[in-house]
Amino acid sequence: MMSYVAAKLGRALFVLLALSFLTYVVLEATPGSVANSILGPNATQQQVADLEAGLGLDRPMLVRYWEWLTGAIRGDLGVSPLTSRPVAETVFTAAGTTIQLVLLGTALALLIAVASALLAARFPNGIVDRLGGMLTSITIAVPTFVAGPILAYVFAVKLGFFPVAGFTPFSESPGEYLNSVALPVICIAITELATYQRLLRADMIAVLTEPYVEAARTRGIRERRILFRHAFRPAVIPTTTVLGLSVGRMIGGTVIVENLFGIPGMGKLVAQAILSRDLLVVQGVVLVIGVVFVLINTLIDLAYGFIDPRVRVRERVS
Amino acid sequence: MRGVRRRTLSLLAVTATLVLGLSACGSDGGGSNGGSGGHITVVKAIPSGSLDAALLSSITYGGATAGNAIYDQLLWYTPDGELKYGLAEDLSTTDGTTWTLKLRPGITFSDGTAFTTEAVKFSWERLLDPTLGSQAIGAASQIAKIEIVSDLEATITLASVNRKFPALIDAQGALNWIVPTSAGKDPKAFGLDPVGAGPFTVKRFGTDDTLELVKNADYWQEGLPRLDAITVITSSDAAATADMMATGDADVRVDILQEGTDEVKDAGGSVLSVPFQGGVTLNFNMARAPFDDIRARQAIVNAIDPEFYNEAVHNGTEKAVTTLVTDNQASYDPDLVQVHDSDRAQELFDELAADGKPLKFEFLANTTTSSQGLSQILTAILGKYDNVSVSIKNVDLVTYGGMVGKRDFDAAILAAYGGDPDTAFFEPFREGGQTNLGGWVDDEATQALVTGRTTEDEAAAADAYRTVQERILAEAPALFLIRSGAVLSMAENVSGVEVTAGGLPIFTRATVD
Repeated sequence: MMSYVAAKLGRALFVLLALSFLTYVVLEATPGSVANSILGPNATQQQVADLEAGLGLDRPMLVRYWEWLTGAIRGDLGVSPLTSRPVAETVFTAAGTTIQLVLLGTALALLIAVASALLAARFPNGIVDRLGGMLTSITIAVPTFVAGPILAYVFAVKLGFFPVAGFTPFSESPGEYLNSVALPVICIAITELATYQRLLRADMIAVLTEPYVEAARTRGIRERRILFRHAFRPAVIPTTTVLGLSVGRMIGGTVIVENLFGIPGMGKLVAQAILSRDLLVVQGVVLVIGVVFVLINTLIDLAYGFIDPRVRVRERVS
Repeated sequence: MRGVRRRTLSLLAVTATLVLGLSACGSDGGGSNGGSGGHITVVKAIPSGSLDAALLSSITYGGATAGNAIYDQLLWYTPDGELKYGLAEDLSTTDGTTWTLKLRPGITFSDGTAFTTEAVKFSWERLLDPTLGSQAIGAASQIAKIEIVSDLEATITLASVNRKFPALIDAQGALNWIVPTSAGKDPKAFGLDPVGAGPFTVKRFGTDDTLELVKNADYWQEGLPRLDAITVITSSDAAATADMMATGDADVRVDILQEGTDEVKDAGGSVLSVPFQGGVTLNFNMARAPFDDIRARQAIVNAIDPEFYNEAVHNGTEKAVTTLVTDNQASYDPDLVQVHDSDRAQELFDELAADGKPLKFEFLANTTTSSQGLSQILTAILGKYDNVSVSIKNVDLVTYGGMVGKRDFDAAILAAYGGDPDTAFFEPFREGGQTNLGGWVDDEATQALVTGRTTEDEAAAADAYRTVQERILAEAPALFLIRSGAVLSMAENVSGVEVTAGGLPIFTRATVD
């Protein structure tokens, strides 16, 4: 087990190194610098050059990358020239917000998806199954940048149930917090639940036709116990894999939701950083997303053993 | 089954703990309700980054709210042109080059240190440091020397005659917003926790650019400010900010666009609009072909109707430019109008083609609504004419700024506006002006701009600015599109908000019911 985890982490470190270097190279190749952002469009070329020199941006790219890398290993991601804040503080604060949104959105999506998938699998082609199929078709077809404004217009502007934009931390007011994250969480859930529901439903139906399930039925075990005890756990493994990939993707993919609803998460942060050429912040965000992605997938791999004991037994035997 | 229930409950408990734990280290963004004196939420369009007075942008929808709230002003002009003094008592000159600044006595910064001419000298001199990154470096370079006479008096010598020096201070926030000398110890830290002599102090400046201001109990004006607190938030989406006003999530919106103002008025709110002189412009690069030829510039000016642009791009909510100054200016002349004549445009296109130079140019577009809209207008409108073609090059804002700064464009959307003709036209149209990015050289216009800035005679200044308008309309260095200006939308229960001639909002006397 330990050697498995060590090998995984080794590969992950290599991926992160390559990711950070490629990001640096791509951003360096983009015209303009953070000095243009700071000085504004009316700055002369000399003023821009002077500020770049003052910020050390006239040094060779590899020198600057090495400086950043050695700092990152120590946990120091540098200081943003635009905001003067430590990048680590800015990125981790934003990451906390994004992770909350993603977890809540995923939890909501799973809640609805699991419930409807179980019912659909239990009563295939029944009313729940057909309704579920129709609704998931709609949600798959509606992208986030369409769903978000519709939700905002209906529930915030017209009905006034939720704020249009903004975020209140939980520590400030739990009620206001839930109010402020409701629409973005629903938006995230809508785009994810269709995938979970359809996958789980299909796997559940397949598992429910397995011979051991039939055998359980002939032994007189109740359908409900069969569903939860015998069918759900093996059926949920593919969904767990997709869940891991989804969550990792969402950590970096909430840019639309965050910009739409004014949520100060990583998506909003990195969009602004790219537009203003704040290279250090972009690097910081990419690194955090990379680390989270790798961690989540490692946890998912480890979770297989928890969900399906056969995986643990197979590993012990091998 | 019991095992499943226990594991499920454990999983829920872990998830809940994670969410709560992460929310503790999550963003500290978002507003909070103020005290009993009243609290308002102000929404602006662009983030501030740093609250250092040298780095805050002095534009309506940028750092102006924070700047005026934290630092107050030495002086400011009302939209009617009246000069008002704040932290300064007087700024006067006899020759336009040497100025005497007198400060109001008994004022302190919020950290208790005295507000003196030493602080003014320090604040202005630090702007010249190229590594600080102040956008006011050009304006500050007009100040040659500052001599301290006493704690409350200083003599300022300018690099050249400028009788509009007070207007320069009003327009350039970094000159108006004074910091204590302690800001020099750690400018980066100061930008996150600033000290000023303004009506509000900073309670919290979040990583998401949310700014919470609270009343400065030691503010020099008795009984002010009236508000207990202001929360300043940032949202770049004009539609979202209009929605925020409609739902009450924001009490004041500071912007330069009229979008959403009808809805504010329908809801019982009010809108304070301060039109600037000049406007948003389509500038031509006269240093290279094809726009080194006046016929090419005049052709485009005649071909594009600003009213059409306003209708198509801004749904008619803005004001298309006809005259270059507003009718309350001494230099206003109703006959000095920008002409749109499509027949004349075609004549000029044909003339150029007959000379073997059919007009073909590239429009450098950025990501703003105005620029994207204009690129579509140019393609659509010019497509109807013979002997002219345009291609569009789309870049992001930072690349755009770099390219126009290097004069690497044929035509690009820029701006030539300000609270008065001097701030609107001096730098964009004077030969060698910092924002004369099209490289226009016109001796008559340059001389008139200098006269307008240096003469004591108001009538002579008005004549000079009329000459400037004549030359701009004749030589067509730019096509003026819409009249820019400050647009402050306020909820029904908000009143007392003031705005300077340059469109910078002041909340010192603001109240909320």
